[in-house]
Amino acid sequence: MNRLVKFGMALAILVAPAVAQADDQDIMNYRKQVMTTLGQQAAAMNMTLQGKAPAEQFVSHVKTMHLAITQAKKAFEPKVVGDGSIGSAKAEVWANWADFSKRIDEQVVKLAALEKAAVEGGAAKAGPMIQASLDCQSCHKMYRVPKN
Amino acid sequence: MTRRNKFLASIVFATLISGTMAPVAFAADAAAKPDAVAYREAIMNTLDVQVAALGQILSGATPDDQVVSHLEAIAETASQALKSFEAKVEGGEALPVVWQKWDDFSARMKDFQVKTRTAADTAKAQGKDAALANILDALRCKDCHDIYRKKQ
Repeated sequence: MNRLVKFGMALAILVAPAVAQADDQDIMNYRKQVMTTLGQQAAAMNMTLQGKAPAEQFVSHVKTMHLAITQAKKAFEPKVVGDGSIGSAKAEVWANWADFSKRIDEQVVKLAALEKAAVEGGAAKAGPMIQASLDCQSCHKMYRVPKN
Repeated sequence: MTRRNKFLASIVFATLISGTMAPVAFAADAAAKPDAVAYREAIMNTLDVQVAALGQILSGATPDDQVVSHLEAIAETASQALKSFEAKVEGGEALPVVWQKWDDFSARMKDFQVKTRTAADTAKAQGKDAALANILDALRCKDCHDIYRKKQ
C-alpha cells in the first residue's frame, strides 16, 4: 500500500467521527429549536392569561404552539441521543419510540383542539382546556434529562 | 436547489440574520425580569429558534419537509412582535431608541410582519421553493438589530 493511500485512510478515520458529530449536532440543535419554541410560546401564553401580557395575543400563542408540536415528531425521528446536558433527550426516547411518538401524536391532537377553541372563543373558551391540553411534564419526566 | 446552492444560500442567510442567534434565555432568567421584558424576549427567542431551524434547512443540514410549518411559525410570531414592544419598559436587549424612534421601529416591524406572512402564504399556495426564493428579503433581522438591539 503506498503512502498516499495510507495517509488517505488515516485521514478518513480521523475525520469521520468529526463529520458524524457535526451531523448529530445539527439534529440536536434542530429539535432544541423546536422544543424551545414550545417552551417560549407556552410561557408567553401563560403571561397573557395572568394579565402580564396583552390578552389579545393568546390565540396567536396557541397557534404557534400547535405548529411547534407538529414539528416535534419529525425533529425526534433521527435516533441521536442527547449529550446528557440539562434538558437534553434521553436514550429512552428511541428505546420507547412507540410510546414517545404516541404521546407526541396525542399532544398534536390536543393542541389542535385547543387552537380551535381559542379561535372560536378566545381564552374564555380555551382557558379551561389548557391544563389537560399541555401535558408537558409527563413526557419530560420520562424522556428529558432533569435539572437536578 | 442543489446542495451547493443551499450551502451558499445558508451563508448569505446567516450573514443577513446574524446577531439573531443569541443564547435563549431560560425561564429562570425570565423570572427576574419585568413582565414586559420577559414577554417580548419569549417572542423574540421564538423567532430566533424558528429562523435558525429554517437556516439549518437552507444549509442542507436538516430535511426540508417542514419548511411550510417553519415559515408559518415565523409569520405567526412576527405578528406577535410589535405588540410585545408597545409597553415602554426598557431593559433586556432592547435599546431605548426603540421607543425614541417608535414610528420607524413600528414601520419596520409591520413590514417584517407583512413579508413573513406573504412568504408563509406563498409556501402554502405555491410550495416551499417559491417561498424560499424571496425569503432573504423577508428576514432582514440584522437591519433592525443594528439599530435597536444591544450589541452582542
